[in-house]
Amino acid sequence: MRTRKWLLFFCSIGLLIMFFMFPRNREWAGTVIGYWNSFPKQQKHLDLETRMRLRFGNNYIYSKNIADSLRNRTSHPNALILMPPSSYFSKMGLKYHVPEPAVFYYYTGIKTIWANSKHAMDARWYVRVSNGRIILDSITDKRMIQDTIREFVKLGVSL
Amino acid sequence: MSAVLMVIVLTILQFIAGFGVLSLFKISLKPAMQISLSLLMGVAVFSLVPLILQLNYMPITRAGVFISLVMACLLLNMQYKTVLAQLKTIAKKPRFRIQLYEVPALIVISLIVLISVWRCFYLPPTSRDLTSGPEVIAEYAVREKTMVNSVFLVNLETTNNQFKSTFITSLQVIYKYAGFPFGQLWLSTIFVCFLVFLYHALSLLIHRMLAGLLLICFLAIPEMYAYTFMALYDYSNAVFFFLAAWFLNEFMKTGNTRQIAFAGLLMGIATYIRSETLVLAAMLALVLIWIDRRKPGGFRRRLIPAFYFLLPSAIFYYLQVNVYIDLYLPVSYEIKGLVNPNLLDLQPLFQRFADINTELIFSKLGIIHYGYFIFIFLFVLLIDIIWKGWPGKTPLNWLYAVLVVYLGLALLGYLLPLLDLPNSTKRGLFKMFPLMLLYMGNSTLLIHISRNIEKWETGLRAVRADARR
Repeated sequence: MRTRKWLLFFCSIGLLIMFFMFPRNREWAGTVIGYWNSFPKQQKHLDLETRMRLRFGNNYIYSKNIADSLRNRTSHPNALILMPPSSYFSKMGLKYHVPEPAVFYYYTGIKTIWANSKHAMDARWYVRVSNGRIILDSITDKRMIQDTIREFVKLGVSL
Repeated sequence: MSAVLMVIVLTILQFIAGFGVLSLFKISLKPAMQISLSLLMGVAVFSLVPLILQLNYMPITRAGVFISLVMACLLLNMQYKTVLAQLKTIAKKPRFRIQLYEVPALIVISLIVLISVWRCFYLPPTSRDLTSGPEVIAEYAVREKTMVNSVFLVNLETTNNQFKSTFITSLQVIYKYAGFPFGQLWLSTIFVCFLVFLYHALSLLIHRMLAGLLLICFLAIPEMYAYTFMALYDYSNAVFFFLAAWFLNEFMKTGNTRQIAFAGLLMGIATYIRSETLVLAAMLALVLIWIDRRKPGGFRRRLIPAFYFLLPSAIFYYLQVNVYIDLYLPVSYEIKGLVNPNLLDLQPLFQRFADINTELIFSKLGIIHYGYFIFIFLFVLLIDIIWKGWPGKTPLNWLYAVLVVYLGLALLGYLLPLLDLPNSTKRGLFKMFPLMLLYMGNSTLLIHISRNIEKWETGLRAVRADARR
């Protein structure tokens, strides 16, 4: 009986090998092994900021930079930033998928608005790119914000 | 170290709460199934606690949440004599012993599970559905001590995720307070307990070597595995939907009213997680009216089990949608506007059904999302039908449940066009896979093979499977 259990043991291993020989299963196993391989590196970086940066990349890093620059310039808790669409950043050579306002708030605690919103005119700050750098500017008059919104909408705002 | 301790404390509390619920319904299963089910039930109980605090306008503080959790445990175990008797019964039941041939599959399963648990702990909630809704609300609930917080002052025109169930928000709040800034570890509890339950459920009739292999087939559904460490609603919804179907099946075998009431509670939790599950619950309840059609007592009598089965879902739906969303949230949600206005035009229904088949299941994309699992199921089903004809009562019940999800998702897509094919329907299909797995666990072919393996393994005439059937 013991021999038969051993035979079943080897049979079990054989079946598993067969299962993982199917192309999609092998591919999936490769992905899982990839996760496994990233474990030692992840284990060394346990601070929250690194984990957020690792997961969300530029979307998180640029959002945090914008928020920091706002905090340096105003202490108003309800400051609202008008965000350009992602297509604007692509056009300016930056890889930044602009998070929607709720996600931006999750990352930074700062409120933003998109140009296609009916409340876009409430924004008092806006973001632009100059020489490859993201700049936060204040909005000084109504005409300026109208023009900015028009330009951003022209580029196409989407999730 | 304190994180590990916190996980242990939460797990113990979840077990106590869940075991209390199981004792109230006098549910008695194999020890491993009872323990895993208790923990799953405990997670469900926990998910209601911050919501209840919110509904009572109580501040969601760390102390408030943990005192409430302990109180929930005590309240659910008020009949402590029954609970202790249940525990003694479980302790007396034969222990589970791992056989040598189970080891390879169990090692592979453990490694896959470990990776999932680590990623669940390490990575922040990622999906947009979560970061623009439940997760951001939970994050600010911890800071502002209320689930109706400053997130609702943010421009939310791009999303409706703020209206998603409080199931995840509540659990995220608890785990954030417990010292896990990204929460999510509750998902690992659900995942691990579900696997334990499935493995033992499969082992009831089929040989454990095959059970292990089937479980690996299930684990290797790429899209579903990804959602074991990326918190969202669909995995948990699939788990509780499956458990409801399991106890519905048990009720159909035994006629025990407690089991149908418990199945109803589990379906209620599935509906709490995703409100549209109510439609699938109603479709599943049809089987209760159908099976007893030849029994005396009339139509009204046949409606009673269906009523038990559907009532909790209706209550949870009402609580989440009509009470919490309508009365507590500062922004309104027009559900009527989400329903297809041209219900008489059935073309979108057929189109959605066709799309599910051609784009999601029988396609290259289907293999990428779900691996070969559906094809393994179809192969087993085909052999069963060719070899022994129409399946028996229990496998037929599982097939019906599979059919409910398969057809129900097309119906939901037609009723609520917002449930799109590449996201909602793709993940909605998760509900079908554990049901398919349990069909295979009751397949004539696999039971026959299992009996022959057992016979050969022990050198005796195996009667175990027959006896259990």
